Amino acid sequence: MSRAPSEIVIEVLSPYLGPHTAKTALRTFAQRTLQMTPESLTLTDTLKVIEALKATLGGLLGSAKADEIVRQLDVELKR
Amino acid sequence: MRYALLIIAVLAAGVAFGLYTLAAAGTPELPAIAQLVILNAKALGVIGALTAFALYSRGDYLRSAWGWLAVGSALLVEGDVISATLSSAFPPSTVVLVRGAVLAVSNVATPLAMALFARALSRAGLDLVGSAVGRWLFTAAVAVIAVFAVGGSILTAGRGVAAGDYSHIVGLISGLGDVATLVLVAPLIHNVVALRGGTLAWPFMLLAARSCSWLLYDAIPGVAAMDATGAALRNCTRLWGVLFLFAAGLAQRWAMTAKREPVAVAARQAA
Repeated sequence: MSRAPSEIVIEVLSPYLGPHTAKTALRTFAQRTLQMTPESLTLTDTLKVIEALKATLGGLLGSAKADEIVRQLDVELKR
Repeated sequence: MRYALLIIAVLAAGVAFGLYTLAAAGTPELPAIAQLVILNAKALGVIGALTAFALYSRGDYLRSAWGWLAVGSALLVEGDVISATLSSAFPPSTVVLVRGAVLAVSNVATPLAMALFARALSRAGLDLVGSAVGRWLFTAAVAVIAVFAVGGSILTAGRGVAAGDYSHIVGLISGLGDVATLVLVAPLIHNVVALRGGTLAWPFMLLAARSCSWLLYDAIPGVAAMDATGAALRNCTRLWGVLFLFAAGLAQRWAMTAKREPVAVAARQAA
């Protein structure tokens, strides 16, 4: 069974931000960017949310690491 | 595992240094050796802060925080160098004023850095854990402890400066800077709780440990006699305070260079 995009995003972000902040980040940016809940995000929506989240990730983990995480998410979500 | 080893190494170094200063109490070489150890540890702290600073690009939020922390810690080293080098060539009042000016900038830079760290998640619009009231109560409790720990030395130094004894300027500036830094431990801990389970929690936790070490260092004269044991306790906590900065910089580097398995690979391995 394929997994929801939001689950993959949380799984990729959790090792860096911890599960609580990974979930909060996705929820906050899904709401802020598309006025949606994480559970209702499609693949296309999720990619938009990740792009919006990139600057915040860069602030906390550095732009280089944020780019790497976004690239990784892109691959994981489209797999 | 390596984060735990890092913490154990810092704690062990502080305890070893404290025990050494206790065993060597009263010997003529102790002040010079203790100064050398602390100065080198402070230099390590600067290296730690600069290491973390260099990992970020211009515009990244935490780059500023690490940058100010590097400035604050480098000026602490400079303060020690001024004391060691200018004392033989200039009157004590001149040395005190120059060192006081350097430490004043350091004591602005460091609380500023800690404020930036403390705001890291809330600035990004990310929720902290617990209610706002609970967090404020915790912050208020930490503020009371900080004032209790440092208030006495601030009052003493303030009275000295008011009476025209400017040798107390350094103590006054350091005390005020310490209160600001210590109060910011509370929001720093809120960030640690929110980030728990993630690698980014470690640098925040080690910075909180650094501030707590300085809190203990400041509190010791108020709760223990300043004999050889009291001095050893202060040396121990002082080394912790300095080395936890190096550890935090290293942890930041580890947090940002950590690699993780792709989700699909991890899922296959789990199955």
